Amino acid sequence: MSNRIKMARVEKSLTQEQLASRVSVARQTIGLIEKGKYNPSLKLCIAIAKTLGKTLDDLFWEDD
Amino acid sequence: MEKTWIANLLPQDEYREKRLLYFIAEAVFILGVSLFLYLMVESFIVEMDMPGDRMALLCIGFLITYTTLRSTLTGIEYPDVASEKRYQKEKRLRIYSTIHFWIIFLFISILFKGIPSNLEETFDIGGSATFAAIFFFILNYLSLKKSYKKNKDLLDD
Repeated sequence: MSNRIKMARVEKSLTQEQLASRVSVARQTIGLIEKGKYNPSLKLCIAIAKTLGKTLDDLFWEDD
Repeated sequence: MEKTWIANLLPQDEYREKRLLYFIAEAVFILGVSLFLYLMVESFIVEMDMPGDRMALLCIGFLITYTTLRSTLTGIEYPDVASEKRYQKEKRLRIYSTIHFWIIFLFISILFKGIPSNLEETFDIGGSATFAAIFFFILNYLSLKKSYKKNKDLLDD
C-alpha cells in the first residue's frame, strides 16, 4: 500500500524515531509503513494522521 | 487487537505483535499436521510407542525453537537499532548478557548436579555451560545483525 506519510512527516520536521515515539510504536514499524511494506491497523493510521495533522485521505487514499 | 490474556505476553509494537502471532500460528499448524501424521502412522502402519514425556518435550521444543528462529531470522527483535553506534553498543550488551547467561547456567548446573569432584565432571558442567552460552550468543548476534540490516534499509531521515 503506497502512502504519503514520509512527505507529511518531513513537512512536520519529525524524524522516524520521533513519530514512532509519539504514536507508541517502534521506529522499524514507521519505516515499514513508509516503504509500503506493512499495512497498519486503523487505530495506528488514525494516530499517525492526528500526529501529522492530516486526514486519513491525505495520507492513505490512492488517487486514480 | 481484541482484548485477550495472550496480549499481555506479546510485544507492544503492533508490527512485532502481528509477526510473532504469525510465527506462533505457523508453528502450531506444522505441529498439528505432524501430530496428525504421527497418529496415522501409529494407528495404521507401525506402532512407535513414543513415551509421553518425550513427546511433550519434542512438541514444546519445536514450538519454542520454530518461533525463536523465525523471529531471529526476520530481524524484528531489535526494532530501534538503526545506527552504527547503537549497533556496537547492543553488540557489547549481548556479550555481557552472554557472560551473565554462562554464569547462571553454570550456577544452576552445579545446583542440580552438585559441585564437580573430578576433572571429568568439571568438563561436563563447564562444557555444557560454554556450549549453551556460545549458542545463546550466536542466536542473539544473528538476530541483532538481521535487525540492524533491516532497520538500515528502512532508514531515510
